[in-house]
Amino acid sequence: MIEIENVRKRRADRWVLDGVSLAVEKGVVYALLGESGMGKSTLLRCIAALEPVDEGVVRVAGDALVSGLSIDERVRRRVGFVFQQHHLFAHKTAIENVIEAPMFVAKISEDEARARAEKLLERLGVAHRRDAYPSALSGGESQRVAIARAMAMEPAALLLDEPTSALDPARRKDVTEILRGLAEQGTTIVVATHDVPFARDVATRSGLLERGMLREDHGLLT
Amino acid sequence: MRQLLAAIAVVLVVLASRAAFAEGAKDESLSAVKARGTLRWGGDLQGGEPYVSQRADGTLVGFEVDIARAIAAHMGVREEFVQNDWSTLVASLERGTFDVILNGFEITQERVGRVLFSRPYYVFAERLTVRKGETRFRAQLAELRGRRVGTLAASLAYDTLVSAGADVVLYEGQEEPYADLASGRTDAVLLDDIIAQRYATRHDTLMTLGDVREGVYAIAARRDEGELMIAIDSALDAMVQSGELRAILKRSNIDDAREDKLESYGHPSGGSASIAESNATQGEHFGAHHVVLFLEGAAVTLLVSTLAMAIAFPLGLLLGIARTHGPKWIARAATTYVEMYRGTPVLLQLYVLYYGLAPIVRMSALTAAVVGLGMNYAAYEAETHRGAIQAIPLGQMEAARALGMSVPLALRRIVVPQALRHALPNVTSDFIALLKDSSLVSVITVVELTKRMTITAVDVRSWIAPGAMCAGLYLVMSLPLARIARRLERVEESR
Repeated sequence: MIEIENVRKRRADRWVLDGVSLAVEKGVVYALLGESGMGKSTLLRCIAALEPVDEGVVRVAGDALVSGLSIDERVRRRVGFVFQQHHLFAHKTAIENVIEAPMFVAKISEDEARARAEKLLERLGVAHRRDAYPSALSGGESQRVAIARAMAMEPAALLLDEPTSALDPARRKDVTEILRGLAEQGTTIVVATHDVPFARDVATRSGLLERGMLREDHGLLT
Repeated sequence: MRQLLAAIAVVLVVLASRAAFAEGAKDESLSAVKARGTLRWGGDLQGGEPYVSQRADGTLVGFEVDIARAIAAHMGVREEFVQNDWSTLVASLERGTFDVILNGFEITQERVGRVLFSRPYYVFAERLTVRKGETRFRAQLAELRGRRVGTLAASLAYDTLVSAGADVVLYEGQEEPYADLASGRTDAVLLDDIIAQRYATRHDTLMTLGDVREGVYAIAARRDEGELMIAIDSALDAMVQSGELRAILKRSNIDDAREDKLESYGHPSGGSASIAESNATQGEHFGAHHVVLFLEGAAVTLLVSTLAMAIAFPLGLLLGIARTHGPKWIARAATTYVEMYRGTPVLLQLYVLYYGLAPIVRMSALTAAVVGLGMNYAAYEAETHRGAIQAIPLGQMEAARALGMSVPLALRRIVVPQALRHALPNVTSDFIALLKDSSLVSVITVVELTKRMTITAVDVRSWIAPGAMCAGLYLVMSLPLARIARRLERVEESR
């Protein structure tokens, strides 16, 4: 699970996050709503420790990942991140993207990493694209490989930044199913999105980020 | 290749027609000098004392300045010094940069065929200098076979050493041969006695072993300018008769018993032709053994370039990474390195490495060449790698970090492998540039392809065959590389 305590972050002369607290339990899909520029991505990046915060603590599965300016690198790999642009490693095939971190960060054997990757790609429906380079993948395929890459590290939490921005409606439904499936198996999921219908379909809980504050009584999804 | 041959053919035709024209032309050399009012004489200030050197206030001093002045006075004109690299004096004389050569220019057999000589104005000895305590050989040519002996390129001493079978080490200036001998890089130095007198005596660890032969300096003019040479000779005649010449030599402290012979040596067309014969090795033609020497030179060029790149590439990569991802102080140190090496001439860097640091680290010439070029090119490679690393989208690093990779791991596995693909076409181009820049290492006595060309050009009295051979070999080495670079670029674009 993810616990965020009173996180504050300043950008230039304004507090983008001004005392955000949140606890997301295991198995929940949490939708982080808000207009562009309201700090959704920033909060997501702070949870993944891609940026330090000015104040506050982020805990993942009980251990502090971010505590003010200090980041615990060992905790980071418990969080998987799927970027809006996916950022697949351009010089590696789909399956090589997936086995990279298990082999070189988690240090498991190549055979084991490949078996795990095959299973993930299979489940996400992109096993047939395992040897394709990212430049040859469609937006939807690329996103699933990115999800597989993040899930291959068996993270406690999976964070996704605007996962529906480049998808047609049919693919959008697929992502919804994938995320619900992962949540059912015990992954904590946080999705930053401004796509209200998608959030309504996928989310168990949701919050609206406005002027640096997180409100859960927004009533957008009812 | 076909275009190159065509260009060479054009040059040959132009040269041939010029020669034909010159044969038929009337000799107006003397009237031209008189009309201009100046006698332009070529020499190299790097030769230094006692020949011709420059004082701090810019005035020229040296016994050759005095001789030039006296001859000009006899002819009723003023003298004018023209600075020219010593090893290309003949070529510059022929293309008309000045009227005569007057600069420790020895009468040798091959030169007699190419220029007109005056009567000698100085008799010198080829002096063998060694480290104190040398007992392995005596001052005899036969005993120099296989010894490492330093001298100046295109000099009589060089010819002497080559025919004696010595392992000749060539220098550009007078200081360096003795410095290298003192530091143990060579076994001996063979140079004219007045050079040894000035430069060898600066090292207390060196001593004169003896003189191996005599030679004479004379003034040289273009082959078809007999009128001018007659005027110069009559001036010299008068100076010898009146004792003016000996007085000049005395003033520079280089007058000795040998100079008594100056009176008996006549004009080379008479008596001194025999001097030329006794002095000279056989005149040479460009032949098969030159081809072998050129191939050796090309091999040295390739070896130096390849080894230098083997240093420059990884060192440049480290510097590039340090500049983009290093902690602030390391990035700053890397930037300083790059700016320092790019901001100073590689020639200076080679000098410092080979001569300047000799008291601390004594590298062989080849090692110094490889290290010097390698460290210089590392600065350029660093910029290539830095650009390539910065061209990789930041998201790649971020995605790697999000998966739990450390920065070094992310660089090694994700960023650098992608950056190298971007860098490779540029690195290949840099290697071609390095192949040609490697000719600079001749200043620290490495004989590579270009140096072999200049040496051979002097030996065979022509730049054409050696120049074409040299250019051809460079092209043979660089064209395949250029092709590889282009292919890599295409691969890069298609990605």
